[in-house]
Amino acid sequence: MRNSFFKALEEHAQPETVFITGDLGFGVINGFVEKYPRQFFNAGVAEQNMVGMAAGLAFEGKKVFVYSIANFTTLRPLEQIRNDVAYHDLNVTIVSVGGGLAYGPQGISHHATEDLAIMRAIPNMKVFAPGDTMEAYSITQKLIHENLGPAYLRLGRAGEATIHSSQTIRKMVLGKGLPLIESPKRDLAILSTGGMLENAITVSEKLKEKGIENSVFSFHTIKPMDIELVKKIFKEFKLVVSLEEHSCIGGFGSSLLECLPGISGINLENYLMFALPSEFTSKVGSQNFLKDFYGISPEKILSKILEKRG
Amino acid sequence: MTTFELAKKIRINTLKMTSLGNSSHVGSVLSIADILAVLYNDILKVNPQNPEWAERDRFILSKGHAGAGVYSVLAEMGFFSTEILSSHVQNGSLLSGHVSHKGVPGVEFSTGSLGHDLPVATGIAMAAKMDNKKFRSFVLLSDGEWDEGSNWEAVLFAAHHKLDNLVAIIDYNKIQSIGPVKETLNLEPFAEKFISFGWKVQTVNGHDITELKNVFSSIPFQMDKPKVIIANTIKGKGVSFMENTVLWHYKSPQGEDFKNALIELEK
Repeated sequence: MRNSFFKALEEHAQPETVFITGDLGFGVINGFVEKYPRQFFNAGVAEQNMVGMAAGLAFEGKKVFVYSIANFTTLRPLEQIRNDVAYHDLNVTIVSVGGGLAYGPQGISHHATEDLAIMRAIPNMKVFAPGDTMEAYSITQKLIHENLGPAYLRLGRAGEATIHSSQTIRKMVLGKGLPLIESPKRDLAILSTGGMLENAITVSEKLKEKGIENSVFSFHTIKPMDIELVKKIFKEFKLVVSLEEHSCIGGFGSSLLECLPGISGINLENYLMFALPSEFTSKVGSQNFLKDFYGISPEKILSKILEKRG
Repeated sequence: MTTFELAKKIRINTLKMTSLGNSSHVGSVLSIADILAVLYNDILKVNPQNPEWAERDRFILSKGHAGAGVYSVLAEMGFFSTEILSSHVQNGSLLSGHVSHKGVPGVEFSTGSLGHDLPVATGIAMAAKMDNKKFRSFVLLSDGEWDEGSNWEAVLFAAHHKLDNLVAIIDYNKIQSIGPVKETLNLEPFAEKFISFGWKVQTVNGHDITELKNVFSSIPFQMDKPKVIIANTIKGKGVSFMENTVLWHYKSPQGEDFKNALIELEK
């Protein structure tokens, strides 16, 4: 995903595009830097100034991307994001690398497990968590060419799968959930955000092998949430599950539930939220190890779905 | 209107606004009234008839708590009607205590949390450089806000990138929120800090209109370096019982205090 972001940036940059890094991106930023040296800045390890400056640049008509490891571009300069970028409704995209537990063994300083909740709570802010390399590319391309205002783009690291085909990605619309696998039987819907999409597909295939028809939706946009689609899914499907590599507080699952008050015919007993508990990890381990530990690996998801279906 | 008269109006407007609104920070505005008057009357290239004129100089009040001063000077300069000033901090008003740009012509940027706007002004200065624009990026900061690390991040960046179109002005009244600067976090040697960071420093009497005009008119006094003008000021300047006190950072001028202050300011 990270590489797709840089590829899109390099291939689509406009004269007003500016990329600022908080001293990260060794080996991956070179393409852009060589092509657009005057549109690149290294702010140094100084994220508050990086975001404040981005607001100043965007105030003058630039479209700015600021980049660092997830907590460093979100939590550290949070007030600059809120007051300077969001209140002024400026074209600044906060790009985070390593969303979720991507930096697994590096420790909690590098685990970005509250970012969606916090960014989502800020007025004017749009929140994107692409599910694969093609979604990451496509969202970046739109951020460059359109005036989307303040945005948060949560990337994984390198090496995520490419799930879409050139046909399916064409149907992608910002702010809309994207069906990837559609079963006419409305037994089970798997709703995924961010890098969990690969797991969603794995789980879907395993279920299908067991004769359980299911549909998979990628929610690359967390905010604005596709409320109509969410309502429809909860009304039509017997069982709905949501997958996110994020705290159970305020993330994707929470945002789905926010769509539902006042809607008749919905039974939340038939909803499973796969998310991380609100706690700092007590274990050291890889992304996959930690996901399994917290019950959001494909195996754990599968077994819980099967258990629920009885 | 002369610059002296403008400064006087800023002070009187502010006294009335903070009294009517029962709001604080009158001392913080009195401290910068002369700087604001010189900037708007003599220095900044701005156009009240066209607040978004692309070539205008940008000015941001980083010490957003002194918003009454900016609203006053903008109204007096004709950006909007002076009648609006009496709505300051009232229910339904556009004029919040800390500066907000929404619906207020001439306010470039909303502020209120300290340490934000040297970075923002740095970004604006950088954009001007990228686009070969001649406008300048001015930002007026308090002294207390130099406790904020974010300012020092911007100080490093602006010097590294030789942003000589960036002008920081510091209202050095030596009193911050609840006590004297030197007893809170001493900033001295203040000018030397900027020199060692690669900035060009000028020190000025922040209440001497002629001196302020001379220093501001000499911008850019050095190429390739960002500028900082350290203005020695008196918190509460112009009202004898408000001068150099912490109290008038918070207290709203009411009753006898209001009357006595007005008599002094109208002299």
